[in-house]
This record gives sequence, C-alpha cells and structure tokens, in this order.
Amino acid sequence: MGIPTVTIPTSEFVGLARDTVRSEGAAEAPFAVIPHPVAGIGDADLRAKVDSLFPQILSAATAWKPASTELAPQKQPYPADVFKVTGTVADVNKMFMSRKWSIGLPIYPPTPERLAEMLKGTSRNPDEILGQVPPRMATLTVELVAVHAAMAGCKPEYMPVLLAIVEALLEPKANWLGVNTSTGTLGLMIVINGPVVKELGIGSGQGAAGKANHPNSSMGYAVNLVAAIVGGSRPPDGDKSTFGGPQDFVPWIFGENEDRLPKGWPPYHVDRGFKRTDSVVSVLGIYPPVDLTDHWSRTVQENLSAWASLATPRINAGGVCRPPMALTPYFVVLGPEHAQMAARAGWGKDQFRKAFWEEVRQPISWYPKPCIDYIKEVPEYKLAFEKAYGLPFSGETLLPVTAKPELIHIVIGGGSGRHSHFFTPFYETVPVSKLVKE
Amino acid sequence: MNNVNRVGFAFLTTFIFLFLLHLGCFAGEGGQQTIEVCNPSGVRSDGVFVDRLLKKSMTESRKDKPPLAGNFPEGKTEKIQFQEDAFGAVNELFYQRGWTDGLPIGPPTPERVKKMLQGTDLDAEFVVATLEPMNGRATVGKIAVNAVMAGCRPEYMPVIIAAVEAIAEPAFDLRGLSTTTSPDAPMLIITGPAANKLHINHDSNALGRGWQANASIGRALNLIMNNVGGSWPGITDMSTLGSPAEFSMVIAENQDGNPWPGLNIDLGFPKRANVVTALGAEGMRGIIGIGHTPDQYMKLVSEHLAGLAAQRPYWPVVVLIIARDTAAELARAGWTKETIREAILKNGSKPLAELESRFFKKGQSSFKIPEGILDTKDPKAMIAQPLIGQFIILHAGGSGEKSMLIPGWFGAEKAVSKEIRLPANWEELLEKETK
Repeated sequence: MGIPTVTIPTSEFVGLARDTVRSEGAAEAPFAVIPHPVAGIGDADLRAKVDSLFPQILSAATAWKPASTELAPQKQPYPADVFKVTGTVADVNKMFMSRKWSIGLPIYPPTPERLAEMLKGTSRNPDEILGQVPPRMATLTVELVAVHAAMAGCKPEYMPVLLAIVEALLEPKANWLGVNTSTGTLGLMIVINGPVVKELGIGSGQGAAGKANHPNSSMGYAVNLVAAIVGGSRPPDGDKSTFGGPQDFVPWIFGENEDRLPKGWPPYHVDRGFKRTDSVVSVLGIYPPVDLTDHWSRTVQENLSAWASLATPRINAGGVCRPPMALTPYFVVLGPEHAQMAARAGWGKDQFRKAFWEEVRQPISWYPKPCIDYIKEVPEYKLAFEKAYGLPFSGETLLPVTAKPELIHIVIGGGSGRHSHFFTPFYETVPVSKLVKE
Repeated sequence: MNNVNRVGFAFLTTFIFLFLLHLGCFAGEGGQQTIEVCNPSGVRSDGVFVDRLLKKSMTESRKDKPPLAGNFPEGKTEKIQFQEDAFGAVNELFYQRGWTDGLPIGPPTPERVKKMLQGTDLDAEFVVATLEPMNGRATVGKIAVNAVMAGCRPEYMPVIIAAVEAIAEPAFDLRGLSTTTSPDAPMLIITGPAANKLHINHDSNALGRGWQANASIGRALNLIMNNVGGSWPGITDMSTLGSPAEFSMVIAENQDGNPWPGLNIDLGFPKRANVVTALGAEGMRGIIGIGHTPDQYMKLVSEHLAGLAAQRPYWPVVVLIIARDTAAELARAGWTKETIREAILKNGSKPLAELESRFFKKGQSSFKIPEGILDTKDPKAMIAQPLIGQFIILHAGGSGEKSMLIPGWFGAEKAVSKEIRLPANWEELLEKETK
C-alpha cells in the first residue's frame, strides 16, 4: 500500500490535525499524540516524551486500520440552505453565535431578501464556484460570498471588490491557509487602487485603515467572516494563533492615497502591471506592522536613517538567514508627509526603493545566534545562502532584508501626520493582485 | 459547521425562512413604520451635544463626512422611520451621523437599553466620567446605549464602566490618545475571577476572533470614545493611517498555570480583585521565540525594544505578553518577572553620551523624561534602551512559543487600573444570562 506514515501532533494541535485530514478528503489517518509542548523543554524531557510515545508510533505504523474509509456524504455547495427562525434580530445573533457562525460581533441576519439585493451588485452567477477556503477546504460560491457580505452589512455595489479580494486570497500563493491557522499573530493587508476607491468611498486618507469608513469596515469584516465560517479558521483548533489580534475582526484594508503620490510616482497597481484606469485589489498575509513615528527629519536621508533599526523583520529564529527568505516581499506603507520628503529631493519611486533597501541592511553578525547557527549547521546551507543573496556569508557582510530592491513594495497610505508603516509578510506568501470586474 | 454535520441537520432545512421583528415598532401614517431608539451621543455639562461642536468645526474646515453630522433631534430618544428593515435603517442613519464604526450595530431601543442597564445597579443618570476631547458626559445611560450598539451582554456593564473611569484619568491622557496622528488605540487588560465568569478570552486568540466579550467590550469603549467623547476620525482623531485596533483590543490574564504572581499583585491590588487596566496601545510586535534559550529570548526582546528606543528614549508603558509555553520554560529555568525585566533592559543599554547626542543635542525638548528615571549625568553610565516607566509582563495567550510587545501611548503617565465594581445582584445576573 505504500510507506506507513504516522502523524505526530501535540495534544494542543491534534484538533487541527484531525480537521486537516478531513479537509483534505480522507476520513481518518493514524496519529500518535504527544503531550504538549515539545518545544522549549530541554533534551532530557523531550527524549522521555518521545520514548514513551514510541510504542504508539510503532503500533500506528504497523497495526492501525481506519474504522471507515468512507467520508460522510457531501452536500452540494449551492444553493445555500434556507431555514426558518422565529424571533428578533438579537435572537438570530445569539443563534449564529452559538452555532459559531460568528466572530463575536453583531451581524445582519442574512435573509433571502438581503441576499437577493446583494447579488444585484454582481453580474456573476451565484452558483459560480470560487474555490475552497482553508483550512476546512469548504467550497465557496458567489452566493456564499454574498451571504457573508449581507451579514457584514456590505452594500451591493461592494460585491465586485469583495469578489476580487476573495479570489486573490484563494490563490495558493497568497497562503490564506497560513494566515488562517498559524500560531503567529497574522492578518491580512488589502490595498485597493484605481477609480473604485473614490466611486465607493473606500477610505484612503486620514485613518484609512481604521474604523472611519463603512466600505473598509464591512468588506474587511465580510472577508474575516468567510475565513471563520466557511474556512473554519476559529480558535482553538482551526486558528491556532497564540494571541490573535484586532486584525481578526477587520483586517488592514485601505485604498492607496493616490492623490498624494509624489510627482512621477506610479500608484501601486501600476507597479503591478495594471493600467492606471484599472481598479485593482492586492492582498498579502502579514504580521502586525512596525510603525515609524518621525516628526523630526527634514530630509529624506534623515527619514531613511530612522528606518534602519525599525525595518528589521523576523529578527528571530532563523528568519533572514534562511535562503528561501531571500525572496521575501516587504511593504512600506509611506505616510504622505514622509513621501513628500522624497518628492522634495526629486527622488523617483525606484530611487527611494533602492535607498530604503540599502539603508535597512545590517551586518550578519547583528542577527541573533539561531539565525547564524542555522547556516553553520550544514555546508549546503551556506552555499544556498550565498547563491540566494549573492553575498558571502561572513560576520561583516551587510545583509539586506530581501535579496532585491524590487521586493520592497511601496504604497502611499493614510492622511496627514508623520507616520509610516513597515509590513512583514508571513512565510511563503506573496502579494496577489486582482482586477476588479463588474 | 462542517459538511458532515450539515447532513445531520438536514431536517432543519425543510423549514421555510420566516422572520418576525419584535423591535417595538408600530405603524405610522400611510403604512410607514417607526422604531424608537436612544441617543448615544455625548452631552456636555453646558447642555450642548458634542456633535454640534464637531459639526461647526467641520463646516469651518470644509469637511463633509460624516454627512449627517449633528443632524438629529435633541433628546433622549427619537423615532426613526423605516420601510421594511428597521435594523438596516438604524444602521444606515447612525453611520451617516458618524455614530458607528462601519460594522453592524444593535439598534439601541429603549427596551434593549433597559435590559443592558440590568447589568449595573448605578443610576442611569450617574455621570461616570467626562470624556475628552469634546467633554461629553459618559452617564451610565449613555454607556448602556453604546454597549447595546456594540453587541454587549448586560453583565459586561461593570467592566465597561470601569474602563470608562480608567480612560478619563489624566494619567491615561485620553485627549492625547484620541487626537494624535499616531496609530494608538485603547487596550484593556482584565484580571480577576470575573474575567472567566464573563468568558473574556485569555488563551488561544485572546485578542482576536470568536469571543463576544473581548470583541464587544472593546468595541463599546471605542464607540463611547467616538460618540460621547467626540473623537471623530479626520475631525478630532487625526490618526494618520488608523489601525484595526480601533475596533477592539481586549485581553484577559491567563491565571491557569501562571508561573508568576499575577498582574493584580504587580499593580498593588488584592490577588482576587477584579480589575480593568487601560493603556493606549501603539501597535503590536509579534515576537517569535521558537528555539530560543532564555538568554537568547531576552536578547530578542531587547532588539525589538531597540526599535522603540530609536524613536524615543523614554516610553511610559510597555506591555510584554508572554504565552504559556514560553512562560513555563522561563519559569522552569528560574526566571521571575523582575529578572526578566532586568535582563531585557540591561541587554540593550547604551552609554548616556550616545543618548544625549541623538536626542538632546539637537535642542529637542519633546523628549520629557520624568524626574527620577534618568538620574545620572555620567556620560559613561549605561542607560536602558529605552527607559520604561512601567514595564508590564502579562501571562496570556495560547500554545506556541510566541510573545507580544505592545508599546504604550507616549503621552500617558502610566497604564491606569480601576477596580470593577460588581452590582449587588451579580451572581443572579450571571446565572440568568447564561441561560
């Protein structure tokens, strides 16, 4: 039958493991469950745990048989079930919360009337299948997006943008799976460009990523509802995020402040290869950003020097030293007042990008020991590192946060005030941009 | 609900969807229905609604959002007309007036506000605090109205009231926090047995999705700051980019298996007191400590703090949240909260001379360091990077070797803690609500 394979989750993660097995289409799989934690307990304790687990591993590998190889019969994803509820809006909210069709905040009850209104906002067929939402891998249809949009209080005219966001997230390279399940404090960054920003009143100025604008709040809420309800990204088993964060309610979602682009700087979607007149959404799974408060710099050079110790992502286990990290994309969300300093100096966008990339380099010796030890472990790693970065691995080498300046993405975000933000993405995720179509 | 369960619930799906609204509506003239709602907005001691002043300022600076700012009848309640959808009508109108955060709100009908008031035995007219920047008075009644909008349960009221008291303390610097260009937003830490009773999450996803208490308590506070205090985005709240933290940021301490004395002890409260601690949170930094020894961990946290130190030499509050796996590991190796603080601050230390050349030689006086914090003139003295007034260590979070660093608003003196005063019928209330 093949090679016996046993999955070894810790007791904290066995729920996620079981759900994953089912989501991937198998009824069951053999597990050997080890008491949590295995990290940070010292060699002796770890060995003891593994030793006492070994009989289980052996038996699972050789003697395990599934109780059933058949999955329960699958439902059709369309149309969505309709059912009767007698009561008030508050009762519906209570019911949805107890069924875990909620992330803890009020919803509009998704009545057939609201659904029909919402579907008027798109010309796409409600039975169109968009993909499978991780980690549950449940099927997402246009209709189901509209149901969650209705719950979030979106307006029908938001549907094209919402559909573009969801489609972008469903691309495997967006790694929505990672965002929805990792122990990290992860969330989404959603940047919107083009005419649709003004058409829909999407916040792109003061407080754009906060609570100021209905399109941002409700669309962001809808996306997170889809992740929680359709995707099953819920604590404690689906979403293992140690802390979670406010971005689990509403992600970082804002329009680029195209009005305040420095002269000659293309908007972000043009960087991505779209036409200026296109409306585009770009998504990325991210850690909470680092913010730069800089009221004091008068020149762009001074401002860049302020970034030096701040834009140091993943100064933690391994991180930058690992060869696959060499192609990590980062986002600088520049406040307009900071961008203006570059403009006054006559700097183009690529010039700023390159200067930023050079400024935030650190000598390899600056990085923590686990980062450096990783390379020293295996000779091939050193070679891989040098190939990836094109730099010699030695203490004095100035290591950039990413191998190429082009991987520093720049967006103008927010209104007045001397603040900018630096976003680090989750592992194995890249920004995905999609055209907004009617 | 996964597909397997859906099949099991198939019998439910044979019903037709029907939906009755019992929101105190009654038909008006010509089939027009109305719903009565309570006013969430702050009234100042001179009797003026904060919206009026904000509208005036909007007109002066030619701002047009929110479009219906100040456009409402003065009074405790009003009747709002609707065609078929009372919920939608209230949501839309309130949003246009600048009273919501763009997410669905629970319409604050008199019945629902009355129910919310059962969560406290304070009189509805009692003024808990006056809130800057526009000095609206946060009465118990106004707090209840905003709590209904936020989706709270009545038993959350004592927590929200304590939070409002806390943010009104001068040491919190509500004026600064709610008007700054910085991305700060209020954060609440709840400690004491009431946290568990109210199902305020302290474990996996403690700050995030899924828990009504965390989500709605923080949201109520933000709505109160907005509606009663008059902190309006783009008008008085000048946060350059804003952040999701403006929706809600609430966490409870994890007392299960806490290897160290709890936060109450650190703050000088009795161990089993119920306390709300409020601070302005300026972002969050995830600290990934996977594979780090304790010493490496201390160094890692110092490195994150170095980024803060590069901006300001002194931060009044910094919170370090250590989740249980890392906390257990550190405690096993003999670390206490005191030794952790000490080691972290020692690691990043730099000579005073360097600090001076960076922050003080340029004649910048915006970096005020309180008396007694920096009490040496010796240029070779090693100074912590940054100097921290109140370095809070909180045991909370789920599994995973993760920690989180939260810088506090620089204008505050410290995080402000207030005891949660429970109503006389507290036990009864909890009993009733869990049904």
